[in-house]
Amino acid sequence: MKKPKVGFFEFTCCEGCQLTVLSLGDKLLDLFESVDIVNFREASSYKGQDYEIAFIEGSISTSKDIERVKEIRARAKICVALGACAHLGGVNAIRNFQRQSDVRWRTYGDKAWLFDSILAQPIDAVIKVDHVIPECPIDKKEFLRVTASILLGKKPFIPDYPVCVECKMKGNVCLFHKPNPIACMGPLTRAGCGAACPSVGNACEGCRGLIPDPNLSAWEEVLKEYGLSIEDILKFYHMYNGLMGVRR
Amino acid sequence: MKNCVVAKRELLDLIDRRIGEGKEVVAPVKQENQANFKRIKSTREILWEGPQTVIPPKAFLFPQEEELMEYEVNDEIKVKVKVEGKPIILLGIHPCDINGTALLDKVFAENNLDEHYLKKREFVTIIGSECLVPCSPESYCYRKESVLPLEGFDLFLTDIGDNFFVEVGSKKGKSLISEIARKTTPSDTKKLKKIRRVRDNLFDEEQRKLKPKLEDLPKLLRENYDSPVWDEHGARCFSCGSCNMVCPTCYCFDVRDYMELNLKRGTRSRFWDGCLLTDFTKVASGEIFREGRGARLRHRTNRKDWYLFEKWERSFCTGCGRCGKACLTKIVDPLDIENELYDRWKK
Amino acid sequence: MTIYKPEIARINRIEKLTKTESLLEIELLSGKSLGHQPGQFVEVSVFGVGEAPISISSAPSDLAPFQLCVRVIGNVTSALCSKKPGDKIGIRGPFGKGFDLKHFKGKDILFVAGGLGLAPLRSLIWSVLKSRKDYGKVYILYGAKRPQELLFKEELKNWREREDVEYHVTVDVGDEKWQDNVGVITTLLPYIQFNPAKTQAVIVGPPIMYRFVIRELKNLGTPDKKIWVSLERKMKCGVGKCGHCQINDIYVCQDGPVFNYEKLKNLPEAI
Repeated sequence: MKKPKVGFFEFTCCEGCQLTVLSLGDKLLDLFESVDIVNFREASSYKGQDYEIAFIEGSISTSKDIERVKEIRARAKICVALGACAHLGGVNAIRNFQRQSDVRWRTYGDKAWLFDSILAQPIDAVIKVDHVIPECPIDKKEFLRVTASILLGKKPFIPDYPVCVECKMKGNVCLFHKPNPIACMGPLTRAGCGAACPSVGNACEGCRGLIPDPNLSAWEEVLKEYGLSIEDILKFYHMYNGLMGVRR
Repeated sequence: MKNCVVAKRELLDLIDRRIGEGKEVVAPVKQENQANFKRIKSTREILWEGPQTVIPPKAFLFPQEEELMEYEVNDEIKVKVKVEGKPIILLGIHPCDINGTALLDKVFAENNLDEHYLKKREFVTIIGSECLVPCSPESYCYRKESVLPLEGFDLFLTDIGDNFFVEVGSKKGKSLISEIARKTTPSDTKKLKKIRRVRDNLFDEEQRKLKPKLEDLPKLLRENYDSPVWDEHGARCFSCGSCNMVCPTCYCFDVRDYMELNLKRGTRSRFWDGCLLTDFTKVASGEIFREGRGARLRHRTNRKDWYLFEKWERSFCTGCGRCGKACLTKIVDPLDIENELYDRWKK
Repeated sequence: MTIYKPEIARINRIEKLTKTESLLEIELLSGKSLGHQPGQFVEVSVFGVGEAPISISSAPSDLAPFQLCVRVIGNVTSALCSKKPGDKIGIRGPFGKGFDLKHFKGKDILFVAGGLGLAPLRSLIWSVLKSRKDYGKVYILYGAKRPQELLFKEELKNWREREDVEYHVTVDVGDEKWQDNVGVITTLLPYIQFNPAKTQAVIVGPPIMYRFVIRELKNLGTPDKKIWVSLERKMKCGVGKCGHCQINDIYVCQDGPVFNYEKLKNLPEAI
């Protein structure tokens, strides 16, 4: 069987997802054996343009990004959003809820005129995305499973149920039930991370995006019960999910 | 099988010796303000009384993720089924969880034998211990006739002072303690009876009441199938499945295939699933056959106290209280729902 | 051997019936006949992709090959339809309760099939037609969305030409060549003069169809116990364990997929 050609591309992000791929260890060799990586800036200086599968990391944050991601789409048969920035806009989109002139000044100072930054967007705001590997950063096991699924021509399994499922499976004491309760986005957030954050005592901040049918009114009711204000609640949504149209 | 008495110290020493010999002994241990089953290094770690474990002991018989088979796909397809068990002693299991396990024993052995479960079960020794005080404010085992186990244990211990009164449930249990067991005396039995009388009174006083009669639950649920209670509670349901995950008698599972990158070797595994999750009844065409959070909540409640209750003549809710504790919006607890249905029904 | 281990089978033949449906002829490598009842289903494995319940489309036979009519809809069905003759797959089953012919012998039979519902129904239709003299009148009503979505076109022609079968077909939307009925399946009922007291009515189709067809049949005087349906659900394990196909207190994979309406009408989650 001919090995499919694969490219990795980055837009506005920390490139942590591609680093995750590079830190696959033994499994990285399996990946090299199964696909032909023609474009991966973090791993190789070679830049091939004849890829069939494009893994795209990062959010769209400049008008140049729009052109470039469209070019990638035009070349690739399959486009995969890699990580929360490409999937949801990621933490980059927090700035969308602030005054853009302030943001630009804070970032670029008096050189702001040199940069054409626009509101941060997930890549599916610009191109058709075939598959998503959520999370910030992506999960190694999930990356391997999704990649194998794509090679097999199968729609990858990404859970539509919330983090609570996996958190309970781990036997964690619910963060809301700890002696010092912590408000957690687990009941709304798509599982697949193995409840990574709650398992070490940190609140889920929703980096895998919301499930398709989040019960927002129930969640807000719970948070109010725990003494949180509307502003606190919005902060939760804005961390990763400001752009999800959570008020559908 | 004959009951007996063992000195507490001797039993614990015996278990500790077994642990020393490398035997896997799993018991509830404290985890923050709750508890969990862990492999213990010493019986001193055991939490005999106190909050319920987050996850019931079903995880040792029907794990969260269980590989059913692995396969290799070349010109020929080779499938290797994985039916495996390893010896484990589950120690300090509460009566509600023994009863829960006994119900799982029934469903996994019904008609089509589930060898994956049964093989694990074969290797597990269950040593239960009687609860003399309610383990949590959420529990209501007394209302579900679950303060004592009916079956499904190898040994069942009741603390009668310096000794454990031991009900022997199996040969495996008997041989485990044969070297330290002694015959019960009338005074032991008297002590046991008195302890249980006190326990019954205490539980009756402290645990929340079930307003309908236990045996009337199937009828209550049948007649209130269209009650507005379902949608009222359902409106505040996250569809997070926490209630399913923590339930000692929830046993639904999903099955998924995973292929390695070489597309040659793969596995088929099963995973805990839950009827409260939105996609539980979703078929490939996208159709969801049990739409609505209220309908899903009703299904779970009906399963516990109507469908399976009628089929097996025993409630599939043991009153352990885990789902009531786990549910953030406090909508799922069967006792609360049943009381509410009962109150409105009577009006 | 465990209840979850598939038997390896070979795909002998694949015939594309429409844009989205293919007919697969399959044979267990053991050479054994499947030994199914019409209306039963099998769990089909494409290793690495998964397992899916698919109803058996061929009539019971002593011969080893059996047929599945598969619509490309999910991962497993897509993978199945892109297989080639000689490829290996896994089979578990047959599962569930199918149509018990003893309820139909000597009776008139009204078959009502909607869309892919013809696939399971075909196993019963051919069982009946194979020993035609054992049954009374046979009516077949078949509906699809469009002419190009009709399945088993050669067999439809055969049914139309047969003297011992009354066959009517409809589509929701016709085309310029379409000369038969246009409209939902219930618009075919006025074409036939069946005796509700003597007729067993068998309905298989999409969930929405049941409600309308059953209502019409009841209006025409068909008793509940003479109505039979086959239900689609998520039969994941096929052996009554996993819980996905449950309708109130019954498991479709064990008690169904074929049900008598007399029983089904008491299950509010069924239709």
